[in-house]
Amino acid sequence: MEARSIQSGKQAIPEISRKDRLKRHWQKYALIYIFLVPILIHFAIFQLFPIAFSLYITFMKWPVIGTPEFIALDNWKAFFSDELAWKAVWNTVLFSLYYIVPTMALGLILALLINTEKKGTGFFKAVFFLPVVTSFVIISGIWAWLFRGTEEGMINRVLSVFGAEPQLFLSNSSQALIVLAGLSIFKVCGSTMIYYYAGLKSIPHEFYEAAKIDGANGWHMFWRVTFPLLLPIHFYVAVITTIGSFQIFDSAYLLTQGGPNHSTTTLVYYLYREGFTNLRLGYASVLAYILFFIIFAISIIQRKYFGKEVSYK
Amino acid sequence: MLIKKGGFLLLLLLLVMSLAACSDEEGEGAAEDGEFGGELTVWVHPYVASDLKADQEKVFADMAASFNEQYPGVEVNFEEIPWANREQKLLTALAANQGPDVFYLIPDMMAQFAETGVLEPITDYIGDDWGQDDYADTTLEAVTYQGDLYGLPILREVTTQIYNKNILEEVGGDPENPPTTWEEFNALAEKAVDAGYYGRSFEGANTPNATIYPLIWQAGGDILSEDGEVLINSEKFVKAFELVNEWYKNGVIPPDSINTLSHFEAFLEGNIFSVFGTGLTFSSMEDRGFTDYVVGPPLMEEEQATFGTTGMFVVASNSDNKEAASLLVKEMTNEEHTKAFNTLTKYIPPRASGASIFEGNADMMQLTEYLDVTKPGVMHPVARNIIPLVQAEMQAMMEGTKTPQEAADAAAAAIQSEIDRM
Repeated sequence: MEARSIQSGKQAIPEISRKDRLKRHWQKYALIYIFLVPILIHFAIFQLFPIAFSLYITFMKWPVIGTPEFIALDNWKAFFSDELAWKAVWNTVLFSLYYIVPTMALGLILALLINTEKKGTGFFKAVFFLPVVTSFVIISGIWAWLFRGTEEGMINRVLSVFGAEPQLFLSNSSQALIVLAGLSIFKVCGSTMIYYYAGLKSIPHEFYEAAKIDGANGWHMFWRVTFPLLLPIHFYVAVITTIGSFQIFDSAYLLTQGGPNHSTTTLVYYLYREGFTNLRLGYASVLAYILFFIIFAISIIQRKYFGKEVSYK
Repeated sequence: MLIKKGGFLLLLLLLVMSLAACSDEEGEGAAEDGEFGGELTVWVHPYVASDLKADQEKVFADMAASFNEQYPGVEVNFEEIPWANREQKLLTALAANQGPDVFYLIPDMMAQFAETGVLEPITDYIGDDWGQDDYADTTLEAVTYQGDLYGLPILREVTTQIYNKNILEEVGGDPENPPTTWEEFNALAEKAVDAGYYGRSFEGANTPNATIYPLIWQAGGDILSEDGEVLINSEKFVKAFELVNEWYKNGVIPPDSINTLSHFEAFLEGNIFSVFGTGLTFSSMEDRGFTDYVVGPPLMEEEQATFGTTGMFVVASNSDNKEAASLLVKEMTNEEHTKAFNTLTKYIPPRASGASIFEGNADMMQLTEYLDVTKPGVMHPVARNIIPLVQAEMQAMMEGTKTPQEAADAAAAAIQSEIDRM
């Protein structure tokens, strides 16, 4: 009897499988497929394929137009002996140093200011956010005007009030990258402010009350309560500003053309020039992969040190 | 069931259809009976401000109409492509085999594109009646690569010295006879510096075509020889570097000359004695109400020379109808259309016969006189690659980290390295 029921059970299995199982599966997951498949197709065409294809062309002499030629590892070897490429990597690292921490610090300070909820903070929130929504070309034009390297330049006029000598700014190899970093900080700190503001709002008020009862002053509360509990925001902002800093291109393109003497030639600017002006798309793809490796490595390190879970309970 | 299978299939069908809509259309070729048919696409750019867009469209429509009088079977489509990122658009379109049949180029790009084989030499298609004698040698040099014509010119620019008339008079110059040589210019520029002005504009972040190259040519030197030999180690090249270095050290050019993109504002503000400008500079000065200026000739040390680009229309080698496209280029650049185009855009007609459009405009007439000494830049496939390299060496010299000789040697090595990588 027992054996029969097992037998009949065995016979029933193939009948539900296939058609019914697919039907049930479809009924359960149809919506997921419908939303996921177009995205996956889009991802495959516009992300996966270009990534794979750009790896393929790193092994080619690929002039964009004209006939490609297989050159094995020549493009990769060329990178290691290309002084300008290493200079571009170094410039990009320097830019990151000038950019990441000030952007985070300024964003946090602005968020703390607007978090005071005093009268007019709504207005200042909009003012601080304004550069984010303004065209980069327009802001660059204003920046170039402010930092004109002659006595007539706005910043130089201000400096002259304090008796300082006029500075060359964009025409000085050691100042140009800092001026460009300043432009990016000005452009981006409004959005980091918003991230930090959201983070500040998510910290439960009880912590501050408890700290107050324990006799903590504002300084202690910031360093012992606010700053540590913003860790997930620090992580997020650090990752996106790092990625942004390594992708810096537009300010070098618009304001300095990579000069003076290659001092603002960043990796992406160099990549662009190699790919689209010098028509060496194979080599430009090598540079893109180098950029990917750098960002990937830094993101891993950042995750290790900042990516810890924070509990508000 | 929340979503029916039919709905999903419909969605998939829509997706497939939308992807299919993105695919390339089949090209149309020439008719076999000698008469041309099919379609020709021409990429043009906004050569005028947006308020004159309709006028520009009419100029191109007239070109198409007169071409169709001879070849009624060809449909000519002019597509306006914005200047921004036009190179990328052009390169990607050509790479995808979806580019135009005819498009606009400048000389250094032409040499680079011709070398990669994406341009069609048009010499054999256009016959002998395209008005060769109507062009200056320097104009034809700009559209020729390795002995073949790769396009026909539609516009020219001439860059020359434009002086602030008040400063010129203040430093003892004669507005009727502005400087012609380095020596004459330097004498007046130094006086201008003594009087508290800068001697001339020098926009170091700009292409060397607008900075150091004209000085090299004026010194009797060149950047590359016709057969690609690097000439910049020559004494004449170094002389141009030395001149810039002296100008910078002596305050003849402003302190930000190392890497600025424009000194025009400072010129309009009356702080600079002379600016290196083109015909478009006249329009800008007119717009700003700046009328006290004098147009001077391009300077010379050993020979008179300056830079000015040549805009040309070229034919893509993957065009389905190269002959018809070449004949269209010939039609677009004939005397009548060249005049109409340049009357509207205020560029200089590359044809000598076109100079008549400037009757009554003394400044532009004067510029046309310099066409013979106006070079199109470096005509070599690496011309564009070496721009930032030469620029960087010049900047290093101005910053004082290299002597003129060291900068010239480094520039020579960088250029040679680019040629070796070809």
